[in-house]
Amino acid sequence: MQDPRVEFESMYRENHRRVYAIALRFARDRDRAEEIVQDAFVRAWRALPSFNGDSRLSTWLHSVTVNAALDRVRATSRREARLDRRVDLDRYADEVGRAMPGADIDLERAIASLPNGAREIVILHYIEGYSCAEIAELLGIVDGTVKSQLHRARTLLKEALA
Amino acid sequence: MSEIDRDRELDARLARAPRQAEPARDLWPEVALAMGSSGPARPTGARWRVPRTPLRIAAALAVFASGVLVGQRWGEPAPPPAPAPEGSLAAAAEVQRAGTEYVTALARLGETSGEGERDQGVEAGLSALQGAAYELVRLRPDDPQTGRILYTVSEARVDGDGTPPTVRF
Repeated sequence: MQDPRVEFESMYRENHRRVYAIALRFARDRDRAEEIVQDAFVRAWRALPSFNGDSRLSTWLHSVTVNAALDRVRATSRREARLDRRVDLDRYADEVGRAMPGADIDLERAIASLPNGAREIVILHYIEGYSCAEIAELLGIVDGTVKSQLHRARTLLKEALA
Repeated sequence: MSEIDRDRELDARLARAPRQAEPARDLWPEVALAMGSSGPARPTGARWRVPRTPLRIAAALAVFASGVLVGQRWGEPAPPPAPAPEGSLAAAAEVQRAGTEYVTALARLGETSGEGERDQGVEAGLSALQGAAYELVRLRPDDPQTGRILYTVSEARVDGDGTPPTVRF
């Protein structure tokens, strides 16, 4: 039987780019995105025994990652609000350009400039493919709030990209 | 351009957004280290996700750097000061001894019943760890790991919401 750590490393190699993309968009900062990646895979490693095989492993890992990213974003948002720290969008755009060749930098900047709640919902819905109901459950808000945030976010994105 | 056209264009751009991104460096070594040496069935109740050895070193240095002996506050009186060790091995042994005492004191802290007292103790522990982290940075100013330790401990103190920090070593 193969060493579970070796198998897990294979899983890491197959999925880390997807995980990093989610983490980077949520965190808007390379260092924090790397922390989210670490956190997500450590959580996944610890929770592996609870993976029941009902979904694909990559799907399960995706949800672990999203939760890790949301937790980190909430914690850092509180801290940033206290310390009045701002996200450096130019640095973020540089990292997107490096990490995602061919990415639409204007679009990524526009998404990154959205208010916190709206930004998370846009990423989850339009990029990660979550339904409004799934997002509502994940964030603990009602379906209508997700839809209204999406509507508001679309308006802001169109204005930013006009 | 009509509103419908703008909506279509936005949808098309969102649909083309990449779903993968390449990290600037290989993160696996840090992930593997943070996973620890045990298997996936490892208990998940640990409060801190900090590897033990660095924690002990940081904790031990905290004793030297800040002079705070948690054991004095929670339980046993502090042992008499040991004679200054000679040589790097003796110093390392002394660091290990102090670290073990510190970790034991922290474990005792976890058993205290009063939440206020525990919070106060956690703050005292974090304060001592921060002192140790500064000492590490002073000893090895060019080592990125020491910087990360300091950042993490400082972050944990600023956070103050019980969210365990993630450490990159």
